[in-house]
Amino acid sequence: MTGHAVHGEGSFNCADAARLVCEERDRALLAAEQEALGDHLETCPYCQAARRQFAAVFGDLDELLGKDHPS
Amino acid sequence: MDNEPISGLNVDTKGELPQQALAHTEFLRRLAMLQLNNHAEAEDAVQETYMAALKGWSGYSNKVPVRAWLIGILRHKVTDVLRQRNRYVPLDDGIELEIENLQEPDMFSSDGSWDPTTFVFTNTPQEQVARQELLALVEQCMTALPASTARIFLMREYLGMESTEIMEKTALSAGNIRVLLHRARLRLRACVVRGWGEFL
Repeated sequence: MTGHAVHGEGSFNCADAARLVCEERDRALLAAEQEALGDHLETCPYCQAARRQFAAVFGDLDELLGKDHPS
Repeated sequence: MDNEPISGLNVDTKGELPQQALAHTEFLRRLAMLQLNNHAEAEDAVQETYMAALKGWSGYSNKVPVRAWLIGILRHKVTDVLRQRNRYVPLDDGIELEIENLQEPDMFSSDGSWDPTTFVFTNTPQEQVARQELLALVEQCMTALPASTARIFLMREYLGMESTEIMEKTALSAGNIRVLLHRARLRLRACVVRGWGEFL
């Protein structure tokens, strides 16, 4: 896979993106976080793939735990 | 056996609940046990779930799958048990070490990028695999989490508890809970994505 964005220390990186994608489960992201995540996703195919995977896993988890039809 | 008898429900009474409801008994037991870590309390919660289901069956509308309906009832029963406990949720010794060890060392490179040598690009194999198999994979990966981690993960993901309530029940700090949830989700994704590869 080519085109992986390289991010130096101190800048917003893939680990930061993964953290925000997961934290969206618990809270609404701040505007600055949304912007940083969006900018990163535009240029990082790894995080694009990871976000799709997280969405699928969380969807399956919600179905497994009955959260797709809350009582 | 998914339809192993529920203690406390007699045969006549049990006969009023259709097989589609009883078919989820074992999953409910596993879920209750994973969350409560106490066989007696887990069995009671499942029994009370079926009692409530029996009581409410005539009003059950089919708008919600029966499985989700039962899981929702169990959620209330388990939450009641946890809220009534005047003690901390039993966590294994060394929970902080457990949180530390949740980090998969080869997931990210030193600069915080996904490690290209370990990253798996597999997508969910929706068309090739039955939903039930995909859900079983997620359950398997969730169960593979360390026991205390799984309990806290489910307090958030299943019971929908806020961080403050999890703090009260576990005596963990907000920071530790946040790190635990994040690392558990990272591990869950990694495990499930590896499992998807087995289906292809």
